[in-house]
Amino acid sequence: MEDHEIIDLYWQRTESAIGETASKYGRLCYLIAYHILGNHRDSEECVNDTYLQAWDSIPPQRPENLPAFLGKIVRNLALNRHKFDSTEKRGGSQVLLALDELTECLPTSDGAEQLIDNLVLVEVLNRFLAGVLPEARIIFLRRYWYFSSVREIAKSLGIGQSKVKMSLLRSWARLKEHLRKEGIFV
Amino acid sequence: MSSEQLLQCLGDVDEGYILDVVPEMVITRHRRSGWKRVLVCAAVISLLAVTAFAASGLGTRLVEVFSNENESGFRMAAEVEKFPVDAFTGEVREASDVIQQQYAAYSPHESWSPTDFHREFASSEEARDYLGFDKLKSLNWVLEEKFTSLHVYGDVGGQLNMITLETDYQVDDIRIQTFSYIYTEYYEADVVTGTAAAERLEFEESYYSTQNGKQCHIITSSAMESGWLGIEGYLVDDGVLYWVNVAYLEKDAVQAKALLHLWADQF
Repeated sequence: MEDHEIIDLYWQRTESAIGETASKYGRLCYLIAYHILGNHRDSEECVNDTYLQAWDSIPPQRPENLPAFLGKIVRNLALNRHKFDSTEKRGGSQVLLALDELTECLPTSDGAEQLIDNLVLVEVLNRFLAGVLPEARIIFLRRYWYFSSVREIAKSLGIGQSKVKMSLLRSWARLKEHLRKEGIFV
Repeated sequence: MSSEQLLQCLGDVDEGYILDVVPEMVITRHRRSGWKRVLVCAAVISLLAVTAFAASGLGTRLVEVFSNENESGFRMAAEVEKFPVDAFTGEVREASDVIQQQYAAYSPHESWSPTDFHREFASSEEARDYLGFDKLKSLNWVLEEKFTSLHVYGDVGGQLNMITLETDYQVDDIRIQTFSYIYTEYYEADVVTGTAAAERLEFEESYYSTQNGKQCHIITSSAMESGWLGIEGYLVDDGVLYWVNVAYLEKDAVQAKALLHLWADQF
């Protein structure tokens, strides 16, 4: 079923919308949640919550990109759940590693911590991503949007792990410089 | 600003960028017509495999073939045994402490993969001794080993969840990689492996019955731009997943297939 047909089902308040969503994008949602939570049961619950949130959001919304729309929901739900869980005890989650890595990207200043509006930061990140080569951008987002491990990214793209690591190292340096130029510091 | 905020805001970047990341995660049945034939065949054969899979309990199943302008590949699910860590009697158990230490010392610039303990060996026999796992099959073929490497994966508590053993061979221009995937009681996720290439390829699925009556799941891929072709075999034996990847040039196609069958007949 095409995405616009699935969205029509939501608008018609037909419950099969959720079944069709699960059939087409259930695995995508599950994988996103699992990368963050590293736990099957929590990931399943997160995916079910995603369907409910989609049901509550459509209408009034009519997403242009259904997988991206669902992906954002499940990613946020999983990150929120991650905050409340004692996930530091879990080995499967990539979030703590990703946070450590991103800390390296943050320019520091001598002053107090800077408060940045999320909307501003999103636009700064969009400009950063626009300036990165496609492959590097995909690797960067696979790591920090999708929370894939280096090994998974390498396997998925058919390249070596060292190439993935090198690409991420370069992206960190570019992001750090980009944030500094935009006047964003820790 | 914190890294948490940065991570959160990355979730809201332009959807176009996100779509660049997700296509391969999505089943691509609606994509290019040229792929439909392959996908339909894969789906039909996959259903047959499910039936066989249920009967035998262990085995492999093709769950997805994907393709877009930049990449293509497939994903192979496997039903394997999850072995207790006690089944490994060799020195490999030192990996538990090493992985815990790697987590403790983890820093992005120093240790990129705290989950992974890696050792190379002069031979696959040495690696098997190090592992001490009696269910692991040794290959008794005459090919000369070129490289043997063992990866042990674990979590922050040092619980080992997966071990992979790779041994490579070369026969003239034919390159052969063999892998053994051993999963432990601490491996919670579904077992899914597969292959991806950074260009559009086509894949064909088939089966080979070994001399001992086992079933080897075969995926043959079309030629890459570089001229290399690939034929892969997947086989579950005694609960362990074995995988061989044979890369060859068109002139060696017959020999490559024969080598894959030779590998499969070891089980």
